[in-house]
Amino acid sequence: MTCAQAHDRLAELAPLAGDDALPQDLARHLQSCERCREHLHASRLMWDELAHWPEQEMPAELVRTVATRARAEAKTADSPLAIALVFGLVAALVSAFVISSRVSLDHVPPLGLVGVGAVWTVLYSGLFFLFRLAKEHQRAVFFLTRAVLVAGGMFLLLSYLSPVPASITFCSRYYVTQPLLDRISIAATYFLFGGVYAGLPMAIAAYVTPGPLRENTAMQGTLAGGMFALLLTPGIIMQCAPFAFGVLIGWFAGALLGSVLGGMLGFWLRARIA
Amino acid sequence: MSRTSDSTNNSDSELMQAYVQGDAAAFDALFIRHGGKIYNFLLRETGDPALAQDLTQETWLRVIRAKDRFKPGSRFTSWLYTIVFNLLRDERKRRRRRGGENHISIHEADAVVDENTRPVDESAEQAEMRDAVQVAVSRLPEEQRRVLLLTKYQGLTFAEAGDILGISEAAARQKAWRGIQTLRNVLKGNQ
Repeated sequence: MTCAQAHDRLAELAPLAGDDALPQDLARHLQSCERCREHLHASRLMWDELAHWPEQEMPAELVRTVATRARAEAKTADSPLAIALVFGLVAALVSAFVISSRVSLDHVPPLGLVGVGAVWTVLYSGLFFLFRLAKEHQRAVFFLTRAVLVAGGMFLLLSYLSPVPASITFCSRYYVTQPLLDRISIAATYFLFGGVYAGLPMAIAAYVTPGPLRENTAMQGTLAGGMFALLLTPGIIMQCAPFAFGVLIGWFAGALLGSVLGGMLGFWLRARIA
Repeated sequence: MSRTSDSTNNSDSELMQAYVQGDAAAFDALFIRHGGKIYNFLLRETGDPALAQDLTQETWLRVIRAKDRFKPGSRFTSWLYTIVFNLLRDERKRRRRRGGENHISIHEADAVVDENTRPVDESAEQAEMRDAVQVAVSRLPEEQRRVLLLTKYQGLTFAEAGDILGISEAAARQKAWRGIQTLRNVLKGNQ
């Protein structure tokens, strides 16, 4: 055995290995080579020298802080429903604010607004509760609810940038789309736009939120789309107040169909391409 | 913090499982057992007592938040140090984003040497040697330093250290050996 080989072998065993643990060929080399023996001895001394780095006591303040925060965290963890309700309330308020900042809600009575807000809070809370509950044990449900929540955020963004009524008004005056919209009823127009405004966010959300969902994309799309359409309902009701009942039905039907088809498409593309 | 009556007999994994099932005292027992070690590891790794305190606190909060992700029967220390290393990585990223400060460790500063912890009978020469060793360890390449810190001071085996660092036991041993050689060379140069 050469000195270089001995050093390689020492690196695999040392510095903790005692003389008894050394393989015979290495022990023989060390017996005959003073330099390598000295090298091992010095390395062991260095290893022992490292012990002289005293431990420090944890500051009492740190111990207290961790104990206090551990209790606080435990309390929070014990009340997932309360967290879901807070999230639901905040999400409902943000959604109502976004819609009201772009669409006039003069036609909605105050009590109606409260009712719609309450329904929205319940829907968001339920979704978030399901999302958190399923995180560890029901991964499929977790990924579906996450896609729905992401789609909800995208719908709000889309509604803020260009609300459905404003887009319809624009398209009914634009020379390319005007002939088409002139030929169909107002309810059908809302059906069409409702479908696009729900389908697009759902398809993108289903595509961009990764998960171990490679099969049953039609089922996943239907489930996620159904949940998403339900989540959109309060927003649709709020914006449909000035219109006839048929418009509300048309918009909701479009949103439901668009959500389901968008979800199917997004999950299918995800399974095939991503 | 309260102590469970039989916490000393339970393994880390058993305590963690008890905590997952709602036994808050099991968390206290784990913290008593490992809190000081984690704090000292972070102190040696960062060289900054305030940062070490923050990261220690955050480590245990992450243990609480991620308790459901702990796999029963798995090695608690591996899981715990993985959290620590993730935090160190995040902290480094955060500092880099803030403006060019790549190192959160003592590499560019002197090691933390607390005057209060010095043995009273330690000679000036011994103290000087000890300080030199600490500074030299702090300046070792990251993996060599971490293997040494985990095995020499945290009491982990090379297999455990390798597991945490994502390398084999043999690679961990080699890194420790190389670290020792680097320290020898550095300290020889200082003399």
